[in-house]
Amino acid sequence: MFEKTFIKSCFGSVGATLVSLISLAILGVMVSKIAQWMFLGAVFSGSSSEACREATGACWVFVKENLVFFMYGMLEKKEYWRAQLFVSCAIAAVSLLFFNRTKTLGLWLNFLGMPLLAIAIIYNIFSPETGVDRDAFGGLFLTLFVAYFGILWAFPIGTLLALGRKSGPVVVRLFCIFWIEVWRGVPLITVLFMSSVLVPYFLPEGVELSKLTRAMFGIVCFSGAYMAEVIRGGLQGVAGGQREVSSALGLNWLQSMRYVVLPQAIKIVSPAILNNFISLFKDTTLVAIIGMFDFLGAVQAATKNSAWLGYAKEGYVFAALVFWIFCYGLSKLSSRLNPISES
Amino acid sequence: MKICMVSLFLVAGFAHGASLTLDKVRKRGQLICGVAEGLPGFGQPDGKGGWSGIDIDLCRAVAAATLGDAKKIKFVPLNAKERFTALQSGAVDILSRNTTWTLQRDASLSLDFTGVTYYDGQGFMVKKKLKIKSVKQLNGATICVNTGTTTELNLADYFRANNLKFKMIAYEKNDEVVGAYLAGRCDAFSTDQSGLYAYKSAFKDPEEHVILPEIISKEPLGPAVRHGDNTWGDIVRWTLYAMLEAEEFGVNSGNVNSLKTSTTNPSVKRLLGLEGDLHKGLELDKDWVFRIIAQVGNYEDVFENNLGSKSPLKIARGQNALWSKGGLQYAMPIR
Amino acid sequence: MKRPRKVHIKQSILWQLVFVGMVIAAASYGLHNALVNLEARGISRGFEFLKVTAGFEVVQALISFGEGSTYLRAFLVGLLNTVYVSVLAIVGSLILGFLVGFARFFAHPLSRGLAKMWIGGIRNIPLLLQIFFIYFAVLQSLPEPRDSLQFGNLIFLNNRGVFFPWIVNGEWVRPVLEGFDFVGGNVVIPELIALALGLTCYTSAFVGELVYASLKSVDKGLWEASRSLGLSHFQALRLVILPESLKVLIPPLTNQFLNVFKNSSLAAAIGYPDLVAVFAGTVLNQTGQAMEVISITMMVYLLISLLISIAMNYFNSRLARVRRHV
Repeated sequence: MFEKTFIKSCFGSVGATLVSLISLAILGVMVSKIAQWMFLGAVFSGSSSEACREATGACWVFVKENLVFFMYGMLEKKEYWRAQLFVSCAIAAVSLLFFNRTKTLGLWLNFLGMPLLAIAIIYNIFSPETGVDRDAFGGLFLTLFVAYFGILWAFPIGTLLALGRKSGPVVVRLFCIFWIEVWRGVPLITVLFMSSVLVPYFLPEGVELSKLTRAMFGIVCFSGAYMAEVIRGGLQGVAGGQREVSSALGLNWLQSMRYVVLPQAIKIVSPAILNNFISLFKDTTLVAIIGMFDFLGAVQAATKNSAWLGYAKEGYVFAALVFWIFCYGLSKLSSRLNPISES
Repeated sequence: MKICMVSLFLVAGFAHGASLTLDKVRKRGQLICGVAEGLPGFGQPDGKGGWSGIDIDLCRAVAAATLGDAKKIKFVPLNAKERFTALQSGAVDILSRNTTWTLQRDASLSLDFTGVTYYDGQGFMVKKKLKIKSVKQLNGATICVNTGTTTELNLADYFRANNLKFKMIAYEKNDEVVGAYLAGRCDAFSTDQSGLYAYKSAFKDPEEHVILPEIISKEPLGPAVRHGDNTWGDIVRWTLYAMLEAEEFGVNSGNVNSLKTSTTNPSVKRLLGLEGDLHKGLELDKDWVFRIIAQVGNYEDVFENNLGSKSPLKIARGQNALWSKGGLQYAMPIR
Repeated sequence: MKRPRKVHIKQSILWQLVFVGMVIAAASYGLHNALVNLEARGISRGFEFLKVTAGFEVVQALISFGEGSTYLRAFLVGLLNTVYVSVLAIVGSLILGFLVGFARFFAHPLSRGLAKMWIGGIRNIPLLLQIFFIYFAVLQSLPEPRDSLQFGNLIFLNNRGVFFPWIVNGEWVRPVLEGFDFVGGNVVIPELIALALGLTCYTSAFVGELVYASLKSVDKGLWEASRSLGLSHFQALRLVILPESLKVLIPPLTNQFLNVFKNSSLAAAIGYPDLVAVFAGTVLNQTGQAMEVISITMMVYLLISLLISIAMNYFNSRLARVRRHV
């Protein structure tokens, strides 16, 4: 039955047949090329570029040999636990947010616990003598680290800015509009250039911020402004009567926002928020341009290594696959999570 | 926002009143050194947390002299754009990143160059199959360069002066320049000659590329420090001189331990701090040169390991031989 | 009733003043630091550098740029290149995006599947990675000039770009291989191709999704109504459905245009001489005046973004008015 309708809709008319043939041709060429390059002609075993001299396809040895660098950057092996511990805790803390019972705990952990953990084991502020060098962190870990804090802090900042723009006093509103529009009006790359080249000038003599901190500052400002506009969209979607009703119930402005308006607003725009997260996650790759060894930066650095010159394609395809899995997973997660947030 | 700012400041930590870089470094127990993001022979991460290169070793030597341990060091990879800001703002203590010493940089950017670790010049690499023997034959060629370098300006000057036409493609990063050259985006690739040798050695088919004989500029590469902290500048300057002097007197990482107990040569004794109190002027202890040589090596050791016969680059000493052997490397006397 | 309100207003004004004070304090603190730092490091200030001769070359300049051109001229060259690639990518992504959107909308399983694959694949990979890939993959797979792919001895495709005939001094001139490269005619450099193509593909996935959503948002009844009026499937689409869906489509499309404009700054990563690469890159490096260069760059982006927003808002409000009149 299914086959019949399938065939009919594909070859039922001249037009449909034409579209089918074109589609099939595209698919055929794509599949055969990809299969040849990725699998049939590819080299999987070996430990140096020598193994790939005769390859007609991809040289996956390159990825295999550099995998640790792609994951952790310059981190020494004995310090991997820091990255692993942090990522596990971050995953745990984020997943707490999705269940009503543990939401409050999750919020505390994410906004207080995780920054403290970062200070303790990544920034390593308590034992700078013996510990690890924070600039050694790189690779996929750095991408996740930057995205995690960028996304997380975008939320409260975005909410404050949205509320300020929507219903703050004149001066606050003007400030919020200015702030939001400035960050939204410029490309992230200029923000990162600013944070890497310009921010040091604005700090008082003797105060030093690491490159990572400065980049994060830029990313948080940037993502906060985008988040503000998304949340503002949600606020506008909440029926005007809600505010009056809640004030009639004796709630003050803060309470009505906290318990009535914001939860609804956020629910309305939750798909948009997730989309925002995904684009921020993709945007973190730009830190590679300011010379940080994030995931993409590490891939690039590896292709520049004299032992592995000329395998950029493999690196990029591998990176694309990893990013795709993360982003696609996130977008699927959003459609799965919608029913939960409705409760 | 405010809370965020405050926490950022907390994270950063305050390092107050340290106008003297040496005090700051000692208090921190670590030297912070700005290096290249990846240039074989000069500053190259090995992908496993380690760094190698002549610029790297100079920093190690300074760490050995000031902190007693060449390992107490942190390397901060910097691109061409951020390197000067990073030094000016105090984010790094030394900039040791194949940087050309020019008047503009020395005077207008408030840097102090403290010596020349490598005498270089801008050259060109082309593919052998083009059968080109001289830069003058590059009329109408497309040339790839790294943006934000003296290379870009020298190239335009040279071609205009010689009435040659060219197209220039400028990339943000070195690996992009190399990739574009190999892919055939450009006919020639121009950068410091040492860099050309470094890249050529790493190609799959080094014999398919030629480095043209012309050198179109002087590129003295060396470390730089912030202007105004003269003691710190002296330390970096004399670290390099000590390594050169050690080569001149035949003191290297292999024999420095035995020489320390057995030498009778007064120059070597002075160098290794066995006689006199030259170290006091630099606010260092008397073993500083001994540590540099023992932990890092003399100039010859460093050169051969990173650029010369013991490295894949196989660059001849050439201009970088000691003055006594017909080169330009000349250390001021340590006495 | 009146008194507490007055008190409330007074209080509010007080708080606003405090807020303004805090903002001004923070800003002037930063500025003060910057001035002190710049002074201490002896870095020159001001915009005099714009009049200085630049002394470098730019591979693609829409206005003449060469020996003796100033940094200001370099700025203009970069800005024009940014606008140029943005316009190309916007047009390209509109065409490709509509194609993808329609393919996704139609009841043809294969075309729908391909469109879904395109959208799902492209959207979830960072743009920078795509541009890198296109640039290096395109570069590496294309032949050298002497082995160019030819189209009737008029158009040549190789790893230096696309060469095609062009009018020079009122005459058509054909590109001819001479020395290293093709001479005469006109050329589109691969950096431009890669950036425009990367932006086009990336944005087309978003535009495709928007087109699909807007087509879907049109009431099913309209289809039936127009078919019952005797319009063919195609006519119904062209005359009724498309105009109706445009009203939903245009506001989010504006955002995509803005994104293209801002994303074009990724040019810096592949050597396309846009505003960021030329001005915030080369000029910044040669002059060292980070403060001025970065501020100018950001201001320009901001200004153009605002202009696009204002223009699109105006267009939107006119559209809304038209809708009300109907």
